[in-house]
Amino acid sequence: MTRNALCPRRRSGALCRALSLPLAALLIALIGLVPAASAQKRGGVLSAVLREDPTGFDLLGPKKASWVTQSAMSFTHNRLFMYPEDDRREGGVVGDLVESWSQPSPTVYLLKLHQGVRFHPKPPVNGRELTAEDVRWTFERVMKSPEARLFKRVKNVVAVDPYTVRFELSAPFGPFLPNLAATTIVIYAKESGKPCDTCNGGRDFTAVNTAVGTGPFMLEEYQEGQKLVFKRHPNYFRKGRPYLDGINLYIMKDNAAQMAALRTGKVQLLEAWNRVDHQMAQEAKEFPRTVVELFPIYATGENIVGRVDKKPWNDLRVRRAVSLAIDREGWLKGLWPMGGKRLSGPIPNASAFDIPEDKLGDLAKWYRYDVAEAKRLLAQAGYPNGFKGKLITTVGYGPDYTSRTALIKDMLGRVGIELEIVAQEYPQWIKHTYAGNFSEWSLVHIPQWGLGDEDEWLGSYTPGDTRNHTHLNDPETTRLVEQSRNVATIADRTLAIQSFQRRFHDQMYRVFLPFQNFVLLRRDNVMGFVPKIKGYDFGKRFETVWLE
Amino acid sequence: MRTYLVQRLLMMVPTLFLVSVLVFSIMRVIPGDVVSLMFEDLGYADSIEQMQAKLGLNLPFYEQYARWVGELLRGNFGESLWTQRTVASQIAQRLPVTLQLSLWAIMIAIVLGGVIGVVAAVRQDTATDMVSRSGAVVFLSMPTFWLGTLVIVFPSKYLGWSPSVTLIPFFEDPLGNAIQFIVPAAILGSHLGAPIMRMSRAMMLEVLRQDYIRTAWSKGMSEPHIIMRHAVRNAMIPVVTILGIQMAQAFGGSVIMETLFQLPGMGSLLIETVRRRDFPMFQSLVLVLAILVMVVNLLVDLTYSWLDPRIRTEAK
Repeated sequence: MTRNALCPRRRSGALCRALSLPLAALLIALIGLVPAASAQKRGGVLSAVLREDPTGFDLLGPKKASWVTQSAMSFTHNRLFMYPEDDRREGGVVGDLVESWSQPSPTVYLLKLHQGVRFHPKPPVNGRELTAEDVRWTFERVMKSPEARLFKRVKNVVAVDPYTVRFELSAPFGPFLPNLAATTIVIYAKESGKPCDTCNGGRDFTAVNTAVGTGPFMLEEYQEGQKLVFKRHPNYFRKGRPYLDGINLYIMKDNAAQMAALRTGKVQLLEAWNRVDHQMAQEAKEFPRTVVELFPIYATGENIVGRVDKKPWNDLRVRRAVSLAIDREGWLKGLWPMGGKRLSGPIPNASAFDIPEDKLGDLAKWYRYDVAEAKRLLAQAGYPNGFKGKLITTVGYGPDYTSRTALIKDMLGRVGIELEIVAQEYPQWIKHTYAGNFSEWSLVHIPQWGLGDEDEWLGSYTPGDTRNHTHLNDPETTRLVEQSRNVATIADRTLAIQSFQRRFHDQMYRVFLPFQNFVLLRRDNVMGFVPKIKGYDFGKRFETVWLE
Repeated sequence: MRTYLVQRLLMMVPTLFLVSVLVFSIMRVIPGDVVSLMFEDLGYADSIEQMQAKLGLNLPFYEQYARWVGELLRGNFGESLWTQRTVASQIAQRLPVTLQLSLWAIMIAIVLGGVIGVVAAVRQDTATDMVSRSGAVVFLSMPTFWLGTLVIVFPSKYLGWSPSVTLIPFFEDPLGNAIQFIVPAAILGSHLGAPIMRMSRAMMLEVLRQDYIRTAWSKGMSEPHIIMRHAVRNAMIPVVTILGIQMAQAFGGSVIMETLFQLPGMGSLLIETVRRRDFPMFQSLVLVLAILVMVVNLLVDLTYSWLDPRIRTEAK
């Protein structure tokens, strides 16, 4: 005789057994109908760290906005679009303030805004609803700011009705929607800025009380060098979010102080942009109730360049020999005990458009460590005994950076490339070397780049771009970059960017070095933080965070 | 005393002039083109010419200097390129923190160094003396940034304690404020107190061998009376000299303590300013710090004359 929970032994009977199956089915159905209790808990104040102070609260001022200002503003403001949580899987962008969009023609975009999006209930905006006019006014400012570089093909922005904005472009532009997701392009309320005749758009957003947006958190207090205090936006348009009552961002510069605060629970989250390195992560494994997570970051790694119009970098065989001389496995094991990627360019590993090394096919052979082949290529290029030259670096990025320059020198020395390290002061570096002014027989150690959309990385291989250190003017590469810009769909853009990458890996204009995994340290009660970075939308990622 | 004070104040004028010229010149001679950096990397202006004009670098050097000094005399320290706030407002916000930390540190240095130095001299060649001298060498040898890091790391590991992550304002919580400052001040003070201890001990030993002290002993005066009334005051004159130097070091040492212990003072501001090449801010901060050191030295000189009236007389 079978027994079950519905028919215990003493009540067992034919009727009970007959009813038990339908009853169980009904129970399961009812459970399915009742909404599952939310796993996310509401309430609590989280403490995290920001390494530096924001510089005012305007991302569209005359000065390039710092990453810290972008991070701070990502708590208080929304963008039209945002990067999806899993960019590698989804690619492209998803709507933030935009509910839906259409593209009636390759040069016209119609963006439909969410209705009922309210600004923070603070004067002078007092919680009014966001409209298309706010977007139009913000873009008036964008086009007069350094960020206009992202929208060169935008001809006109029109507020069609309170919830619809039309963007008219002079020509199709593939990166248009991704550029709208840049963390500098947040939507402002005009009246929240102070009237100012000389400011962009006639408004000054430097003061702390001008940071009034539609974002998930309201900036309640800012003490320079100390902290930023955020509270939940009570009328946030995504109902039920954010889960936290507030966030305190402490401005802490010293790593030992940051780690002590994490260990004792005074802060609950530290992340890569605060220069949390692999040694700190190893140490944090011993901390009570602390979780160490690793994640790829949206940046390209350090690399070696020369001038493609001068010796010896003008010879493809030399460039390939330099790549073959880099022991990428040894580099990773020696410098970054918590691992990383062997190859870190020409676009970020975390990008949806990236071709991973194992999918490069025959081109992957240029990224192996092969001293004999490197020497053979150098001999073919007319340097049977290698060559002598300079390796330019800067002290401006700290001692770890210059020690990696020494590692490059050591590795290239094994194939006969004898380089003398020239460590420049940072102003000198920026003025001359980083601007591409270096002589033949010079190689340069270039730092990592954390940019916005992939188009910014691709642009650095075209003539006239400020990051074109190699002086590259290759018609085929330029054509591929232009092709990636002139497409209208993500699928076409993917194909175009991947064609560019294959061209890059074949021609090796830069020799990319390995790149470490980035580290997130959090207390185990901090849940829902998505450890992924594209741009500087630190605040956006707290929208879904809760405390257990 | 008034004549002496006026003399000392007048002597500050050429020092101030030299410091101002040095501070003004320094950003113009460091390697690389600072203007290019400020324009290209930090985007402080729309063009290189605008950047130069903003800094007044399109004018001859002497004119730039004259304008700067003129503005300073009117109380205008300029505006930070980075924060776009007035330099004066930022100094007003940060200076009290540095002063508080430095004063706490110097008080600890005086109490520790002075008292232990005197006791060690009075108990010469005893265990107390040996321990005191060894302690002074230990604290003198240990860099404050290292000791500060240890004080942060070990209590967090073994006691679950770490320093406050923000400044506790004195007027909101005087006790909390005192507890927050006592640890960094003790670290800084122990380092500053070591030379004071060594100097106090050496000078006390010298004074204790003087005839008038022997006479006092022979007259049957009590030990505390001889030490406190006759020996300490005379032994302290050279100690006060190094106190002036230590005060200047306290301002310098506060840079590290402020960074480690989350204290928003002048030191951490100076570091940030240098890193950001915030030219007007840097000039004003260094000048203010130089003036502070000069004022401390003036106070030290006045203390001399109080301790030893002969100095006032000789000055006349």
